[in-house]
Amino acid sequence: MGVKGMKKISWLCLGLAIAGTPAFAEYSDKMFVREVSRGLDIVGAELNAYVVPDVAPGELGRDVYQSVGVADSSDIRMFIPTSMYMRAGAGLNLGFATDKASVADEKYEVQDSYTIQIGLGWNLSSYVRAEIDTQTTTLKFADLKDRAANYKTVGAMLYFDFARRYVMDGDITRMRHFVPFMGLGAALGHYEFEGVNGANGFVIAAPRATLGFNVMLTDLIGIDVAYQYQMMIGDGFGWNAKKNGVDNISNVIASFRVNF
Amino acid sequence: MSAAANAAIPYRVEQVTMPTPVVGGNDDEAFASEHRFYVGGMYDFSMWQSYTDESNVHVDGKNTSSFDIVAGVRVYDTFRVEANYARTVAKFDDAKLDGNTIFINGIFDARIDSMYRLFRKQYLIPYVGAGVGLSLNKATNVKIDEKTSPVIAAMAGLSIELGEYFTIDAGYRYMYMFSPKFDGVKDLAPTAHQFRVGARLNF
Repeated sequence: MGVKGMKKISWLCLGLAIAGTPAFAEYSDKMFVREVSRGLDIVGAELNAYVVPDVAPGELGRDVYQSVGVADSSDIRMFIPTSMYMRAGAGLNLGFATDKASVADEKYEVQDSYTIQIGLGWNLSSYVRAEIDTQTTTLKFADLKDRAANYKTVGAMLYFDFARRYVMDGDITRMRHFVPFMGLGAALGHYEFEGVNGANGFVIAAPRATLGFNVMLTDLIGIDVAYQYQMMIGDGFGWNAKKNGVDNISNVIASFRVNF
Repeated sequence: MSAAANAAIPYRVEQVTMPTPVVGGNDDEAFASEHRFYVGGMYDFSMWQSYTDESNVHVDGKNTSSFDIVAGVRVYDTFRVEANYARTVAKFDDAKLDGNTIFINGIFDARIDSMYRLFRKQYLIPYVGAGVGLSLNKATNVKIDEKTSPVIAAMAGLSIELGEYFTIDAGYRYMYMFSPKFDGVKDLAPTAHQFRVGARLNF
């Protein structure tokens, strides 16, 4: 090979060097994520040379290449415990487990009644949660057309999960997708049985208790289904109703719980 | 071995503290830092609730349409405060209430934090929030004693982010207006279940 040939080779080397140089353009989020999730060594190797992951021959080769592609395998998922969650959902009143409204001495069962719930919660630990929520409840009654009652309450609850939502076990955090729970708390607000001599005024729901289960659809989003019992301390339950005593209201509430 | 022997060995103990990474979603690359402000508009479908007062006077709430304009600031990735002008249109039987309503809303976004951001993209951001404000009202076919009424609201919804500048929003808002004292039904406090669809521009 003469001088001319060497010259060609050096041009080729320069060309390869330029082609193989990683671009030092502006910082890229996408690149950073790739470096973390795939491994900087793998990403770096791919950038600097045209490495085709290949099965090396022999047992030793298998060991050497065992980790290729593992870092971005879809089998591995990452769970990071979240600090807060929000909730939005709706509930149906259980007429058979709710006190009947009274009109003087007559009793009328609650029917076709619903609750809307919006809440904000804190994941205090892997099995304890605290939450504040608003609930607006509309009660309607069998055989009492055009009569309704409504409750608007703000509540505070403490929830206990019967199993840890996640378990940190060395490098791996295991997450449960089905977690039963109970909650205990209280609420206060305003209620009104609409119409002549309807009970109304300040109301306290104490205790408010729930028992339910959570099904996680992803690491962050799940559905809660819960029975909620409220002992309402107010000024009667109905029209021309007795002013004392407490009234029991039961709901089944389904809601989305979104962690963040 | 004598313990005093150790004293002759020069050594130094230093407490090494690791820098705590900011994962609260408020770092330089947080969405809230890059897009601090937003404006938007929404269509509101309001279902006004029927009411029966103490004298058994019954009014039927109707469904109405109106709109909202919002302008907000993201304090954190997970919390924003917005000023919200809402055109309130409430109908009960033949009576109509038109309101210019201003809310200040505090809204929590379920935006996953920066540790998750490394590994995921998030297009859907649920939110919950609450608002307080005032409504300046004008009534048709009925008289009202109070031209200005306080309003409160609780809301929840889903934001769909199409890129970083454009967001579609679909949500629910429960709106409660303190009684403007309608002639004949003084206790009627207009309340509505509102379903809202709109868009926001982030800049």
